[in-house]
Amino acid sequence: MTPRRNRVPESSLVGHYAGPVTRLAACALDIAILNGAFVLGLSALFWLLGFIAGTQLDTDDFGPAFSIPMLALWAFLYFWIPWSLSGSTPGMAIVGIRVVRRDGDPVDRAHAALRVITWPLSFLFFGLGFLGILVGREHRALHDVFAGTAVVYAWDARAARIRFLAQRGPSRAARAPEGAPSRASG
Amino acid sequence: MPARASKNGPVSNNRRRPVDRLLDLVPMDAVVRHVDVNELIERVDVQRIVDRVDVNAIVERVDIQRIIDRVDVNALMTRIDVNEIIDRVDINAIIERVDVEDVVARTEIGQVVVASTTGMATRGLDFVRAQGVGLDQWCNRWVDRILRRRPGDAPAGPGITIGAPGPEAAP
Repeated sequence: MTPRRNRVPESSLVGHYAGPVTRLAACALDIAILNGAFVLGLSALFWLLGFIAGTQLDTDDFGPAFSIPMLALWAFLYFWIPWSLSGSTPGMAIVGIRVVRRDGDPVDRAHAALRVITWPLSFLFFGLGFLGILVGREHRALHDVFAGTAVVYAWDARAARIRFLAQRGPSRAARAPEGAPSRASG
Repeated sequence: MPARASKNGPVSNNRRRPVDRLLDLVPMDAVVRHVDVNELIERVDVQRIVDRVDVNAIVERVDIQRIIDRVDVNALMTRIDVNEIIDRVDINAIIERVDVEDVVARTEIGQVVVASTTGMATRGLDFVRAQGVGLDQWCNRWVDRILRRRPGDAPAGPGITIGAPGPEAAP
C-alpha cells in the first residue's frame, strides 16, 4: 500500500496536478503554521501593548469578538500574500506544490483573493468541496473551481532522483545496478 | 615421345588430334586481334563464375596479419579527416542513448553534485515529497479503478497530456 522507501518518481512532475495526499499534507502544515504564528504573534502583540500601557494584558481580556476577526484577517493575509507572490504558502512550499491558474499561468492578486475567500466554502457539508481533489480529473476543490485555479507540483522529481542516485555513490551503484529506486510513472 | 610446344601450348604428339594439328596452323594471335574482347566479356556470366568460387576458402588462405603488418596505420590516420567524420555523426542521437542516471550513479560526478547542491534539509524534503507523490499516485490509481477510468484519460496538468514532459525548471 504505502510507497517503498526512496521511491523517487522518474519524471519531473513539475506542472502536473498535485494529488490528494500532498495537498492534505500542505493544508495540515499551513493550518499548523497559521495557528502557531497567530498565537505567537498575538502573544507578542499583547506583551508589547502591555509593555507600553504598563499593565498585564491577556487574550481573555478581549474575547472572541476580537480574536476571531483577527484570526480571519491573519488567515487571509497568510494565504493571499504567498499565493499572489509565488503561488505557494509555506506548507505548500514544504511539500512542493503551488497554485496556478487553470491554464497554468501564475495566479494574480484578484484570483488569489477569490481563492482565499471561497476556501471556507469547501469545508461546508463535511468537507464535500474537497471531494473534487480526490475524484476530479483535474484534482480541483470547490474553491479552485470558484477561483479558476489548480494546484500543481512545483517539485522537480527528476532532479531529486538524480540527487538520490548520486548519494548512493559509485561503489553501491556498481554493486547493485538494478537496485535503483523504483520508477513510479509520472 | 616428348611433348612439343605449339602456338596453343605444349601438347603431346601422341594425344594430338587432327583438330589440334589444324589449329597449330592457325595464327591465334592474329585471330585474337580480330576478336572484340569487350563484347566477349559482356557475354560471360560473371555471377555464375563468382557463385562457383569458394570465397571462404580463398579468405582462409589470406594472411590478414601480414597485410595489416604492411599497412602504415599512422600514415593512414593522418589522411583521415576526423572533423569530417564527427560532422557526420549525430551527437544528439548518441546522447539520447546515454543513460545519464546510470552515469551519475556510477561515477564521481554524483558525489560532486551531492556535495555542491544538497544538504540534509534538501534530502529530507526530497524524501518527504517523494513519499507524498507516491501516495498521491497510489490514491489516483485506486480512484481510477473504482470509477472505471483509464489512467491515461485525465490530463496530467494544465496544458500537459499524459506522457508529455512537464515544464522544466521548478520555481
